[in-house]
This record gives sequence, structure tokens and C-alpha cells, in this order.
Amino acid sequence: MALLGSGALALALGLYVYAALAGAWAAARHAKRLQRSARNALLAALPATAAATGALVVAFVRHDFSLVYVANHSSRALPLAYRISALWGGQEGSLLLWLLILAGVAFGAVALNRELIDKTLPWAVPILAALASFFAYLLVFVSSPFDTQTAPVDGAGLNASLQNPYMLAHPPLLYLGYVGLTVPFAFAMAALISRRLDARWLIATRRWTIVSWTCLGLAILLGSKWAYGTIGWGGYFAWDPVENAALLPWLTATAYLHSVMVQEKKGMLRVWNVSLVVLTFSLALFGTFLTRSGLVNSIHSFSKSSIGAWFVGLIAVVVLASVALVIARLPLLRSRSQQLESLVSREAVFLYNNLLLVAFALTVLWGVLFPVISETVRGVPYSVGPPFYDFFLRAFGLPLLLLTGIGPLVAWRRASLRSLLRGLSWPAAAALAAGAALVATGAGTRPAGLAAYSFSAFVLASIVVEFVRGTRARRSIDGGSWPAAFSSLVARNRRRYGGYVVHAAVALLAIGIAGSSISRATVEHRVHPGQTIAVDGYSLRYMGTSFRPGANHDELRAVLAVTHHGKRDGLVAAGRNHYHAEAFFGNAVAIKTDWLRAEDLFVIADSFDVDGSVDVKVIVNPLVDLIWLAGVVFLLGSFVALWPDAREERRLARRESTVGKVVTA
Amino acid sequence: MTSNNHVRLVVALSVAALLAVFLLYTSVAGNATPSLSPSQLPGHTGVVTLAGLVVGPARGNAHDTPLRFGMRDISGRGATVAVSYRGEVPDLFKVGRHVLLRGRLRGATFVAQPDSLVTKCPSRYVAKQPGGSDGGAGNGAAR
Amino acid sequence: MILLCVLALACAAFVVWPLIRYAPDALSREPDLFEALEERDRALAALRELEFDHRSGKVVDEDYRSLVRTLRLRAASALRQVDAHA
Repeated sequence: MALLGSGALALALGLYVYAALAGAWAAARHAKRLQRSARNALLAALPATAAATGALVVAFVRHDFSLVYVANHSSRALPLAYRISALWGGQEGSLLLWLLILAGVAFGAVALNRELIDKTLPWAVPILAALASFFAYLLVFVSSPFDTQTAPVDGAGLNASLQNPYMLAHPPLLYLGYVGLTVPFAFAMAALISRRLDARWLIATRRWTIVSWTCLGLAILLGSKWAYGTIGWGGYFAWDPVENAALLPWLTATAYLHSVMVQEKKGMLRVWNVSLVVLTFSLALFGTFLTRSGLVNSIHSFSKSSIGAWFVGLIAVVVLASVALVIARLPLLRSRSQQLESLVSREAVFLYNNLLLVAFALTVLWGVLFPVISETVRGVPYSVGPPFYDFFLRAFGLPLLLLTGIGPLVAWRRASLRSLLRGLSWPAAAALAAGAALVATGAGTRPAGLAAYSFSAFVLASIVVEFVRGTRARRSIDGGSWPAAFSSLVARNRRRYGGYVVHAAVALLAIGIAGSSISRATVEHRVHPGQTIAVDGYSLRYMGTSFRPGANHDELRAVLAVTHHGKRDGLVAAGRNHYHAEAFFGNAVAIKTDWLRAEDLFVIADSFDVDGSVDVKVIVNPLVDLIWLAGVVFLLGSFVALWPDAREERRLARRESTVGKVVTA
Repeated sequence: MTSNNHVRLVVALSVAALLAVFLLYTSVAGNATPSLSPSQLPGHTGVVTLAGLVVGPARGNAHDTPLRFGMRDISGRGATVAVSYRGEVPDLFKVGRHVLLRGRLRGATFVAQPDSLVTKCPSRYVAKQPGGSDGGAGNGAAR
Repeated sequence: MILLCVLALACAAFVVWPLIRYAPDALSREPDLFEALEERDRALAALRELEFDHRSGKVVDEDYRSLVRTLRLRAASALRQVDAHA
């Protein structure tokens, strides 16, 4: 296994290096055959990487402890699913996962765009290959998962806090997000080098960008849900540097998705778009660098390993090279750019939205790097806490939320005051009504919360208005029934209406965040069997403990009977697990969700005493489940936006064939 | 071209606005907290974040009785600082781990703020390690 | 071990194949035609969208009147560009 693995990795490295060098030479010299050979090398590297990954997976499944990596991250008692997920449970394996995904993504992007790359974007191949070579080099020479040893009897087991279903989904999704962003970057750079600044690279990479952005967003939400359900704190996002590291490229990618629409419609913001692509990709690399390097204090970070230095080098090269390229092509980028006609237009709203998103990203970046900067300047690292981030979340997030509602209601190019007032009247009324209702029921005590709720109402109302008006207009043209008009409306512009669904998700997210951060109720007591603990309409009676032994871990639980406003509401069991191989006690939190009120009852049981008493902490988290619901709506919206559009594909094909006809004529 | 200046104007105004918001915040909401290791602690009387290695023994359960343990620099050298903590204790907490705490030095004891204890994920998990820290090359959870 | 050799040989073959098989073809020169076509499609799409927005009430009558004139001129010039390059 080790031989197959390291051999396959070496093969992949060779193929990538060849693809990078030969591809670059071929692109510069327009040597078609060499170009195709380089492309084939890039494609062939996927099976090689897959073989290496497969070798490692098989080693895990077979308990092959002669591999150091397998011995360090699994044990005989570890269930199969976690043994496979242990693949990405450590440094070397996670690098391999990154390379595998990069290989897959590069394969897909190049295979699906063969003609485009062949004719206009030949540099895409060497750029993708060069990036892949970096990771392959690390895996072969610096940090290999295939180091061997004399096999011990049993392995060390997987870090117990990683033994849950989230470990199966979160890292792969996160990497899909990070790595997927390589494609728009590579194509953008290729377009710049070849001076092909028409929209083809944008159109080709559009779906990749949306998919990566969706995966990244879902990964962040999944990570939050993981933290929420596992650690006994009741929160879901701590503004930890590693959490922020994933948020940063997501924010800039969101900005990019919007400004790209402006470039498609009006041909403006080309320089901005290219800069955003570079920034987003650099932040993705920075994200993984931060996690591995131990540069800043974080609950997720690890001791400083030398691999951090390699990543700094990569990021430096990527940033310097791309910036140089953009500057070199500046005149060309500017030449065909149209101008912003009015500060009150959809383009302008997109511009403001971009500025807010990038500003927020920069402040988060500042917060993440602050300890490093202050240590260099003052000798002692100073860190900023959640209050810093919460402040700026409100300062930038609330206007952003408002713009999310305004944008769809404003026309392109120019909107007069009259059209603006007419368009905004219904949603504004809804927002005011919501705000008034909240104040009347006493829920509007905090201005930020009140603003968040009202703005969200505004956004949701504006989305409804857009759908209604659009369906009505469609029906007046085509005739037919309302449902038919509705589906025709969406089908003709899937990206826009899918985007509106995503906006709805953002509004839900805003309500969820506002609700769960402002009005939490917490209570903590030591209880003996039979005693009750009460909070916010809930009453929990401690019935006793239950103990369940197991091969991998034992489960000790405190069982409590829940009553809500007098009505019986089932049992909760909270406590801890004892993992044998790792000799570790892990907290097992109980969460009872009331879907009707989108509220969570959060129970933590700790310090089990011999006399039967236990320390119980109960938190009531209102509206927090809207956050998870927002994730589902987000996925739905992306799905709609990604669905292939036959009409548009025909249009693009016609363009290509027209050009083809002229060139061969 | 007035429209070109439009964009430039908007960008410039935004940058200015951003800086203004930033300055407003840092002046109103207070400063960042220094992050110190136990050997740097003596002399600092304000609220700080203490980052270091847990040295035993650890007594108390952090709920009815405060959790008391010692902290030393991550390198293992230097004087030990006595710590007193109440609140949630993360699963990963044990002697030999890297932890972070917010609090202030009162007399000879570092009194931590409730629920401020954070344990770092251990590096590559090796079961049979002789005493001391779990630090070393390699990584724990990938995220 | 055998698997590895098979894999390596397959990859090598795949890589070398184009070098032997394909005859070098002429460099395809892309004139500004593509950009002109894009500009044309963009202008036409903008007109369509303006019509729809007007119909659905997003754009009021006087805005529509001024915008449609500009867009029609833009579309006409884009069509001329396409003809010029073709």
C-alpha cells in the first residue's frame, strides 16, 4: 500500500510538473500538439492522485498500522466511517484530500472546456498544473502520508472530538469550496495573459464559482452547527481565527458573484472583478495556511509546523504574480469599460454591496492578523475579541441587509425617484409594520435587533413583490395559468430568481442570528434525582442516570423529563462519553428543538457525583434554528441558479459558430 | 468623464467612511487585550489573555469549587502561575494541554473570567507519550 | 506494484499520444468579432429586460421613454460593429 501510494503521488507530481512546464511553453509558442499533451498530463494526474488516495483509504480500512499516519489517526475499535474520515484527520491526509479535489476540479474544468482552452485560454492548464505541483511536492517530499514504521498492535485512535458525523461532511465540503475557487482564478489569469478579455472566461467559470461558494457557505454553517451541538457553550460562531479564515473568501466570493453580473450586463468593473478573483483565491490559500501554521492562537490551531512557511511562499508568489499581471493589462481592461450612469441604479447598488462586503472582509482580516501585527509592533500580541467583530457585523451587515432588499427593486442603468418610491413602497410598509409589531410586543428593545428584524422583513417582502410582479408580467405576455407563468419566469432567468431565494436565506440567517444572540436565557444548578430546574417556561426534572458501555466508547447520561408551559415534552439525555483508545472524556450535549417556535432547549450535564447529583446547565436559544433552515434555503437557491439554461446555451453556441464561420471563411 | 469620477468618488467616500467607523469603534469600545505567557504575566494588572501549558495537579470541579491548577510557558520553562477558574471546562482540558484564559492577576493568583477557558486541539494524537506536553510536529483536526 | 506500473504506463501513453498523432494546425486568430457579438447580445438583452421591467412596473413611463432611446441606439451601433468585423 505504501509503495502504491507514494509511487502514485510521485507519478502525479511528475505529470503536474510536465503539464505546468510543457503547458507554459506550448501556450507561449502556440504549439498545439504540446498544448494537448500538457492537457492530457493534467487530466491523467487525476487517476494517479485517486490511486494514492485509494491506497490510503484501503490502509485505513485494513488497519494497516505499518503506515505512521494510519496508526496515529485510527484504532481497531474505530468504526469504519470514522476510519475513512480519519483520512483527513491530520496534516498529511488533509493535504492529500486537497490535492485530490484539485485534481478532480482541474480535470472537470479542463475536460468541459477543451475547445475554449485549446483556442483561447491555453494558459489555464499550466496555471492549474503549477498549483497542483505545489501540493504534490509537499506530499512527496515534505509531509508524506505514506511514511512507514514497524506496525504497533493498535493505533492511537482518532481524536475523540472528531468522532461525529460532521467530520464526515465538513472538511470535504470546506475543501470543495476552497479548492473550487482555483478554477475562476486560473481562467482569469489565463485570460489576462492571452489578452482574451471578453466574457468567455467568466461564463465558463460561472458555475464553478457558484458551486464553490455554495460549498464554502454550507461548510461554514455545518462547522457552526458542529460547534453548537458538540461543545457545551450554546454558541455557534466564536470569531475564532480559523472560522474567520473560511468566512473571508466566502465574503469576497459573494461580492464577486454580484460584480460579475455587472460586467456581464454592462461591461464595467473589469479591473475590480479580476482583483476580486485574485483576492478570493489568495484568501482561500490564506485560510488553509492559517489552520496549519499555528500563526495565531486559536482553538483549532496546532503547534507551529514548518509547513506554514511553504504556504507563505505560495501565497506570496500567487499574489505578486497576479497583481503584476493585472497591472500589466490595466490599459486593456479599461479600454472597453462602460461607465456608471447613475448613483441610483442596480449597478450602483451592486457596487455599494461589493464595497460593504469587501470592507467587512478587510476588518475581519485585520482582526485575525492583529495579534501578529501588534506583536511585531509592540512586542506583545494583542487580540481582539467577539465585541470587535460583532460591532462591525452590525455596522456593515445591517446596511448590506437593507441593500439586499433594495437591489432587486431598482432597475439597471438609471432609476428615477418616482420609480424608486413606487417600487419600495410595499416592502417598506412591511418593514415598518414588522418593526411596529415588535416594539408593541416588547421585542424591540435593542436597536440592532429591531433593525435586523425590520430589514429582514423588508427583504422578504421585496422578494415576494419581485416574484408577483414578474409572474404577472409573464402572464400578460404568454397568457396561461399563474403556475405556468411562474415557472416560465424562473426558467428564463434562473440565476436571478435562484439568487432571490438565496437572499431569502440571508434574511432568515439575519433573523436567526439576531434572535439567538439577543434573547438567550441561561440557568445552571446542581441537581439531585427528583429535583427540577426551570428556565423560560421550561421545567426539567432530573430522573436519574443511564450508562451504556461500548467497544469504542461508553456513554453516561443524565436523563431529564421536560415540561413546557405545563405540557409534557419528552426526555432529554445529556452527559459524556468515555473513549477507550484515546483515554478521553467527551461532552455529549442534548438539544431539543421546537420547530414551531424555531427555538432550542440546550442541556449540558457535567460533574457526575457518586451521590447521584449532577451539574446541569440549561440554555434556551430562541430563533437559532432559522440559521440551519437558512442553510437549506441557501442550498435550494443555489440549485435553482445552477440549473442549466437551454436558451442561454443556444445563444452562446450561436456566437461561437458565427465566429467559427468567419474565421474559416 | 463625470461617470468615471462617480465611481472614484464613491470608492473614496467609502474608504473614508470605513476609516471613520473604525476610529469611532476603537475609541469607544475599548482596546484589545494583550495575549501573554505566564512568564510575562507579573506586573500586568489589567485584563489579559493568558496562554500556556497546564501543569498539575488540577483540583476542584469549576462549579461549586473553583478549578485550581498551575500554568507555565508553552516551552515548559519559567515560573508557574497559580490559576483559579470557574465555569465551563472544555472536554479537551487536562494536564499537559495548551490552554487560553481571560482574566487578571490578583495578588499571586490569576483569577480567570467565568467560561473563558479555551483548550487548543492537541497535535497529532499519540497515546503512549511519556508525561509532559503533547506539543510536537504535526496536526490534529484539519478544518 | 504492478498496479503502479500499469498506471504509469497508461499515463505516459496518454501524454505522448498528441505529440505523435495530431498534425500541427494553423493558429486560430480571434478577431474582435467575438467582443462585438457579445456587445450586440448584451445590448439586445438589455432592451428585452427593459421591456419586461416596464411591463412589470419596475420602470415608470418617463424612465422607460428615455432609457429605451439610449438602448436602441446602443443596439444599433453594436449591430453595425458586428457587420463591420464579419
